Amino acid sequence: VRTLLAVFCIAVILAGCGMFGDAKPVISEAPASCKSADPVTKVVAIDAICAEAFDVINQANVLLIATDRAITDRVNSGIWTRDQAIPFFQRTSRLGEQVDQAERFFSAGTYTSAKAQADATKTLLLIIQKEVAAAAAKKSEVDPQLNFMIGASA
Amino acid sequence: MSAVLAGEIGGIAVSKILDFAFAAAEVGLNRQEVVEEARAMEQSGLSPEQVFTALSDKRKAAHADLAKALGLV
Repeated sequence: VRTLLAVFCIAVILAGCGMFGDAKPVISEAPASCKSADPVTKVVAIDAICAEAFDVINQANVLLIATDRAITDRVNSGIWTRDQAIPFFQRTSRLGEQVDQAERFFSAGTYTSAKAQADATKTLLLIIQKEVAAAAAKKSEVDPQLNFMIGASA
Repeated sequence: MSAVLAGEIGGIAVSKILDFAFAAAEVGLNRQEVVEEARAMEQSGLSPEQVFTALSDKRKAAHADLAKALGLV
């Protein structure tokens, strides 16, 4: 029974690691704006920074959608009160504005700025996702000990 | 192992760790669901640019749904 319980705990914790994502790009193909064909050889080259910026913005959008949906589910099912959810809403609002900015950089062709903006936003989103999970576990304020265990910061 | 039996790992209640793990798994599933939505759009023939825009629109819609659930709109 002890062994089964320990194995079960490890399996569930590993399943939780799914929230940190996989290494594959969200969209497998690079957009046309990241491609250029050699006029002579016609070989198509992909601008790596452009393709990375494109993927990181997609990842940030995926994380924001997943986070907002998770919070909405908790509010609608009565697990969280409005007061518990509003601070998370305010944070995802700000991060949404940052993704908007990254998208504007990308549309303007400033891929390095777009990638830097989206990378910074993604990092903050991963922290929020951990906090949503930790807050859901405690159903009130985030437990500092649990927060330490998952490596989240304020 | 005796700590597990006593209901604690590293001083944290097993129930709390399990609650966290289930919540993390739920967030992970939400994330995977959105990735699959994006890949389905791509497979349906939408260009990468169109999927990019659709994801951005979905993000705004998800945030609007949350605002509605909170009674902010």
